[in-house]
Amino acid sequence: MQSHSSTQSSDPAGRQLFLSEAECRDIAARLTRAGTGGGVTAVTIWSQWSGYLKWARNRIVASGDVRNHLIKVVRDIQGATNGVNREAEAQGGAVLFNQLSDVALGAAVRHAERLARFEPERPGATPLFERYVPEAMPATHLFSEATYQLDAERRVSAALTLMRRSADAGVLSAGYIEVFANSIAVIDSLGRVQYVPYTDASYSVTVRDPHAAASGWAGVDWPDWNRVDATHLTEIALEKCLQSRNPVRIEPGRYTTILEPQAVSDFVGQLFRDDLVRAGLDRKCTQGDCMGEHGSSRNALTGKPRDPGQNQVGLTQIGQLVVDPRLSIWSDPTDPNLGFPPLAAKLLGGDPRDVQVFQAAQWIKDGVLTQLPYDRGYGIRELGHDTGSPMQGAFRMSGGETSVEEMVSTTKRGLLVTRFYDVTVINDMSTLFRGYTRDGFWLIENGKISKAIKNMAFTESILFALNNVEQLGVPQRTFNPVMGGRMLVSPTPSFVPALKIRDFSFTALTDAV
Amino acid sequence: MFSTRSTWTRRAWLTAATPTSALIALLPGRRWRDGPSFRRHGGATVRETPTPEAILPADPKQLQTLAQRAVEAARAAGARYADARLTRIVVHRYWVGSSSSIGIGHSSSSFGYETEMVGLGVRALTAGAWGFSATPLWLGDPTAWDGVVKIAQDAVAQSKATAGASPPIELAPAPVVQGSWQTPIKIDPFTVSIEEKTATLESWGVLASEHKIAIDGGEINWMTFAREERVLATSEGTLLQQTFFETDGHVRLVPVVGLFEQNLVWWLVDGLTPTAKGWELLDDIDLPRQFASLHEQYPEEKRLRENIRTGTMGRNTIVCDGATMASILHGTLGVATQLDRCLGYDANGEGASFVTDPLSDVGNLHVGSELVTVTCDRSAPSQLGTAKWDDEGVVPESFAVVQRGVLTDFQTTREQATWLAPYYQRLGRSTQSHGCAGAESALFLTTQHMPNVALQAGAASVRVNELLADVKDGVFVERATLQQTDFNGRTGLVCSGGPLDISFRMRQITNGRLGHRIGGLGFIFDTIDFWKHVTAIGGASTQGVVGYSGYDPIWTLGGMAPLGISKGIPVQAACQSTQAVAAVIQNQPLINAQRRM
Repeated sequence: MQSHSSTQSSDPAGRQLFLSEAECRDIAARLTRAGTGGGVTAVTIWSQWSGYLKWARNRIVASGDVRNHLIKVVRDIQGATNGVNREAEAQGGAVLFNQLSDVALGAAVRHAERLARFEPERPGATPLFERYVPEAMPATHLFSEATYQLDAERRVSAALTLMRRSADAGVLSAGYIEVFANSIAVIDSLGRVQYVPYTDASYSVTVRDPHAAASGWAGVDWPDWNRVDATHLTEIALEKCLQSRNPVRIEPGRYTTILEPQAVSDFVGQLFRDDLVRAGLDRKCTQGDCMGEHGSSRNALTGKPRDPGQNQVGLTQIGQLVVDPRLSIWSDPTDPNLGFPPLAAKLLGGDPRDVQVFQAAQWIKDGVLTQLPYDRGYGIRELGHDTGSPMQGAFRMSGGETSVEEMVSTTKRGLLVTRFYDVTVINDMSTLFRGYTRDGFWLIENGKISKAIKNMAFTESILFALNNVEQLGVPQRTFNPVMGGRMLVSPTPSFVPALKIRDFSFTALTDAV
Repeated sequence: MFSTRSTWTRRAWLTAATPTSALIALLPGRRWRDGPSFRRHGGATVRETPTPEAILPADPKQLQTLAQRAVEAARAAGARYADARLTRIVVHRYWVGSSSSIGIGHSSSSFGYETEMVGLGVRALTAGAWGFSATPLWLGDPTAWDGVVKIAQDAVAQSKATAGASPPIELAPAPVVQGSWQTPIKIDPFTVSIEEKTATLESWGVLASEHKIAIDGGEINWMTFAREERVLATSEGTLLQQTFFETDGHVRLVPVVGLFEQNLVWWLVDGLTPTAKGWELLDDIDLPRQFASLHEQYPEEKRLRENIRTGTMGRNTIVCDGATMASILHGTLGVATQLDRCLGYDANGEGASFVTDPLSDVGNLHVGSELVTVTCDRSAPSQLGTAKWDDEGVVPESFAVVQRGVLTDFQTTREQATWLAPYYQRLGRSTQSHGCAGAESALFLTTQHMPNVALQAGAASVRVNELLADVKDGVFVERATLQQTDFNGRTGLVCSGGPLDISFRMRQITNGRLGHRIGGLGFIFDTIDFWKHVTAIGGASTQGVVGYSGYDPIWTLGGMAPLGISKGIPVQAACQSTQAVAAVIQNQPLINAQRRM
């Protein structure tokens, strides 16, 4: 992977495919010039190019090429910033738009200034921008030329090989290749300039029996397309489909269950992924620890239910053994196997301190909870310091040496899960989640995969499961791209092992394939 | 069609509720940094900030010319078919009672945020598959006139890159149409000033306090106003401009209770589901009536809330109100009758359908009882999927996907209609699209999206009470939502109570009468089994409507998918409303949804 240079290829309109640092600086300067009445102009710019190829039923459906950007402008006129001074309330006036002409930028600034005037006075409030020194970002290398150069011809050429494999096997494949080149820039008129370019390349494929009686899936995303082994993944999805024919029903209940890495990511990742938290849109999540929360200030790791405002620090389980001691969980934006953008800005609000900078963090060490993410509002209220410890959603989990095959061969009776669908919180206090198995689900009997089985819904606690780990596999990268141009969220990769878990609880059957 | 902002002075709900002078005068004085104030009721002259304008105004004719230029460029570059869409989506959100509440009964309001997102998307067909290229472009951008040409050429290049890889894509014929249309609304919310909006929202707290109700400061309460301008030009000559409006909100209320009295009751303001209306929605929901009625109901509500009991697990009869049925309909038959899902086109994304062999199943597969007829349309007043034309210029028709329990048709676009040609020929019908093409914005490829879907009312004017009367032992479910479905719309889960939903939406039915509230219970159903066990349905008076907004910035920018309206890869959402009548469903499994096995 190369670091990003200023020589980018151009789009058909003669522009770069996403906004460079120079372009972002220029936009911010134009916005600043358009301001009237002094004060500070703060700008956040998300920019994105995505190229994709979609196929289904062994035929190409669409090839797409989409550019977009999103600009947030905040005008702080003598401390009357729209959106500033709302500590612990991630809201307030913001103007968000995606036009770059001078006329558009000028109009957006006028809107922002109107909103600033509209903010009620807050006597005694100190202007925030002047006394704020931005946190330094860790150095990441997340830009891959191989990803950036994967144009339509290259995507089609890759897809043809992959589709042919399924067609030859007499099954139907539906696949998707998507490459992104993004940037995020946080710039203000006091001199802050933070800019991160990054790429992401994803491949996923679902191979289905022509009579929709069996389905297999595989997928991965990496910043660098060269690390995506699409051929290998296609073979896995095909094999899973062929092995899934004629599924039988088994009774819901507790089973020793082998979760492949993707299933581990889909399930355990819920502790670390909450789009509401990441987008800064859920006010309640800014009022307390956010690890694993779902809109409330309580969680099995953070403590007992409490009244809002009550000190929670003494109730967390920091320092306690919360999961199997073989497990450690951490995140580091500079990790070559995990790498994620170290910068995120909230959709709303203008407080410069609400820009999130992600540092390396150890969340769980040898089973002991060592750190919890929290935002600035919590830091101010509960800890007395004006910084947060945000979590991006990406995580690495330690593993072991056991292959999935070995896990199967040492299982007398159990289940093997490829991945989960729609994992939804049922009870955040006990980290209880519900979801469905999908695209490859088997019964294991006497050390061998004996039958394909019909999909089921599970209802299980993440912490319960992580305390019932029997065997750990070799960690690997999973599929967690951001699809569909949702620029505010960046990919939240995970690098996790397969896990064999005792007494995993399956609660209902479905005929869905 | 639009009234001007003078409507402020004749807001029915204010005048009807209280001596007017009253209400607005009660509003605590707000201090504005720069001195703008709002017009007080009664006509005091004050200074106002200008009416919110779009970041850039746009001349409709010029917009259409811009779209046509893209289509011409695509044709010139070798497209056998091309269409171009220009969209501008403006969303304004206001917080209601969310900042610095001062004392019980008062809630302040503030401007939340405004978003304005534009896009140009060109779709082209050559010998290959769909080529698509999109970028934010709009009038006023000096690069727009050259930019559309380059985007069009890119769309063609995208299609050409796929040439020879797959059989060519065919489109069912559609008449060439030209014209313009907009959501019929009474008051354009974007002509109402910010001051008036916040004053109105602030006055809700004051009005509520007169009924001993407060806007719950612990919740995020908001009102959202959205407008989308959409232009479509096709290489066949179709040229359309449509403007869509949507208003919705979420406002939670709590009773004002004594200092040491514990309160467990809360309500949501009724009627704020996403709706294709303008500012008039705020009149239509009749808050004075709602507040007065909640005040009256409070003692009974308190009694019910304090006496929640656990329910009995096992199979039992369920009676669902219209809103609950709408939510279930949406996530089951609404999802499963999308032809592309049935054929596996979305298998690698959101999922497929339990209808796995559409051409054999259509006309044969029983998916419900005789009482179940499900229609699709895009003309129902105030519903979000309503449009004069779809995004391929097709005039949407009303059609039934399920008639008397039998699967009879699918939601289609022009491309998808051709996949059903053998079926339509068998029936002697022409092969044409049902007008379900749409997209979240011009930055997304046009695809099939759910139109408005409706469970048709029974012939008789049966009311909910009459449905309950025949149930000896069962559970009544009101205003519940389908919380989870699988990836085929084949099973679903509806819950009452628990951390996710503390509203306790189920009540015991004994000998035809409603009894205590039930907590902790849910029912998990198999879709076909559920619809086949519908043994009675209500009349039109039991109808409930649920709107699904495709404009919510939490979704469009933040990526939170609302259940059931996300579609395709890249995943996108579009606006849609589902409507249903109440129904009795026999023999459904009631479970404790919070329990592990």
